[in-house]
Amino acid sequence: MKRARIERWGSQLLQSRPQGTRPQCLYQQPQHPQPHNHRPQWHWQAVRAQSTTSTPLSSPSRRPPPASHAPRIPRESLPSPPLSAARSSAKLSALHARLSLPSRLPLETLARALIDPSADPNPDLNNASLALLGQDLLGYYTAEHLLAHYPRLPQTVLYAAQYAYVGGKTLAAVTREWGVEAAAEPGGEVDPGLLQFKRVKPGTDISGAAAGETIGPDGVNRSQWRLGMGMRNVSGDEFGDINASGLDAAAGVTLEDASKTFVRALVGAVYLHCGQLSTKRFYASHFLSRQLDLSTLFAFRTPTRDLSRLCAREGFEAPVARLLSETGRLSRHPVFVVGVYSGPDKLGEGAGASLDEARTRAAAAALKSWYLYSPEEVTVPSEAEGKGDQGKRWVPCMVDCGEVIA
Amino acid sequence: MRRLPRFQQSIDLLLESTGYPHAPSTICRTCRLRAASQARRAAFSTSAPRNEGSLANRLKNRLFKKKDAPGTGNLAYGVTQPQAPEVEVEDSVPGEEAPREYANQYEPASKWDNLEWVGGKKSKKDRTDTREEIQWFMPRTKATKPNDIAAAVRRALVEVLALQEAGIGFEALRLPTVSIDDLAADVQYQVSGTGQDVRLRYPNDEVKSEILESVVLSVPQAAEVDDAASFLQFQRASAVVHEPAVASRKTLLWKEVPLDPANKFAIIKRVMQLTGIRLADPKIQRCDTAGKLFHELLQRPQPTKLADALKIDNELTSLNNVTFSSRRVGPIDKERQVGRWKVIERELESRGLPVTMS
Repeated sequence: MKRARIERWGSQLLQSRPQGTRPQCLYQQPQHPQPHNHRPQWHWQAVRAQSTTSTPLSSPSRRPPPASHAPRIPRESLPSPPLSAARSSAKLSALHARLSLPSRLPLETLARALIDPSADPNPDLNNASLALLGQDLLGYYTAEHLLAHYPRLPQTVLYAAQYAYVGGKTLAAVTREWGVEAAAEPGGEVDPGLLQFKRVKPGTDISGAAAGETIGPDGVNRSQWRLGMGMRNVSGDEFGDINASGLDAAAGVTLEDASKTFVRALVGAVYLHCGQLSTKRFYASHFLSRQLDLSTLFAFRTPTRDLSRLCAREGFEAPVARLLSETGRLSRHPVFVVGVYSGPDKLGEGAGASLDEARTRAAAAALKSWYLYSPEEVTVPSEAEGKGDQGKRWVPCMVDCGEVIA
Repeated sequence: MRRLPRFQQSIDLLLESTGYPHAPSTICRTCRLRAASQARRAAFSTSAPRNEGSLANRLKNRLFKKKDAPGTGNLAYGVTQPQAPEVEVEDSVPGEEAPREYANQYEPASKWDNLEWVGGKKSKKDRTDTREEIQWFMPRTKATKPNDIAAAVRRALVEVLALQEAGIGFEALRLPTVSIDDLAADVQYQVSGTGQDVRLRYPNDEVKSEILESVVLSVPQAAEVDDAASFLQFQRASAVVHEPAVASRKTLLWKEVPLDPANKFAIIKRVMQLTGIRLADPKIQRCDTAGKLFHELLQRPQPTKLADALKIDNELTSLNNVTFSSRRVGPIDKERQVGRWKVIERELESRGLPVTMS
């Protein structure tokens, strides 16, 4: 399996920022084309907040102007709290300690992860770039965990499990569990420990956007299309969804979207500041630790036929359903226990109120036991990353030929 | 009728301590003090001065309706009482000379602006225009470093004890003098067997002369010193070669030097002048050694607010998830912290409603 060198992603984000355009004086600032109260003089601070090294950002001749040189701006006029307010926020420190974040992650970066692009459109001050990195990391870690530990999962179940681990609703629930409170309105005077985003106005229809009402790059509205698995695999995101959020960030976002962006940004910030090991530890303690019963994600239409196809594909004997036990056949509530056998091997067992239901349940159980097979020792690709002794020895994972398509 | 004795007022104690130098020595001390206190009390009296003479003369004038009334005795005293001498104190008391001089120049203020105003920007500007410098009793900045405070205590000890040994009054100590911190560090303190008499032991004569010259810097000019005897005493003290250390005397550290009531207040006053730290009376009462005085000077004043008191405790200030507010966190502050207050303000202003009741 080809390794994904994600250690370069963060450095690409940092290197893409031009270093030579750092202003020296507030009065020398070019006016931002957008009519918004940006703070481009803090550009260098944002770079510093993302840096994982302690090297000075600039030479002494390029120090920022003294405070007396810059005019005082009322905090209410700022779109988001300044970075200097992060150190004095008790909520932010409490959140940092509550999440057991590494000490290398500064409070300023944590404060930046709480600023949604709808609150501050300045990409140097909001969490858009961090969230992009965090989204890829969460998808990567979850996908490799699911694929390596459950190599026979059907693609739809894989998408559902992916969403159950790191989907939008899950991340919003995680945000609530972390105790992150949301600000009523973003602004510079707001406590940096609050999640800041511009709320969507009441009455706005967000169902269309959530359902994938998106016009593609070719100008075709695919919202009414029935998406096949092939298209979901090619064009979809880590959850198989093609839609992006149809809401404009300037018009506001929902609390769920803002929470999702925050968690992703926090993961990205942890990766940038603390490295992959800390990120994986953080991911395991906050996301993989969540209990998810994968067997509940399956939905079979014709399990008996799927099981027959599967046995035929794998070279097993054709499945045979046998009645194992029954009770109350002539009563109002009979119970039949049926086992599905492939030759002498029992593939599954199910109980139902009728013989047919019990046979279907037994076939579904046999399919689940096949699809939920998990190898005993697994080495995920991210564990093998790293130089020297840091990475484990790579053991190839099992790759299944795929699900049975009826 | 026998005159009822009057209780002494507190101001009399102050007046009596100053003495009355110009009265003839043939008058007894009680009469001199009474006359001096009666004369000087006028300086603290708010009533207009009356030029009718003594009480006896006023009684005579009231009884006989004319000033050349018969009788020369003092009616204030009985027949059996000795005659109280008439002391001409009014012309010789300096405290009453000034009011008489100013009486002619005094013009009552008819408007508010004509009153003399002390304090404020206008008064400061007037004093700046007239180049009248205010002599502060203490520096306006307080010393905070323990080394500076310790140096000030040592310096005050050396200065006051040097003046005491020279027999010069403590009034010679002025605020702007030459610093003798280096010299004071070399001086040793020796106490007698009783533990009360503390004397300085200088390493050599030059140190002693330098210390004395710096302490009474104004004495050699003799312009600001009233008593010429102080100058003579200073010259005599400077000329005396320091005595060799007596074996019976015990050398003390500067923190062990006892503060004798004779010079305790002079030392503390000098320390206040040097450090700018004012000591309350109960603290002064507790200071019986220079070390305790130093300890009291190091004590920071009690905070006036709970937030300041909590900030002193390092246990709470070291916690990042704890913040202190110097005032009550009200509903507006809470709304501002979550960003809702600006929305409330905007909506209230758009409806023409007052934002707050004030």
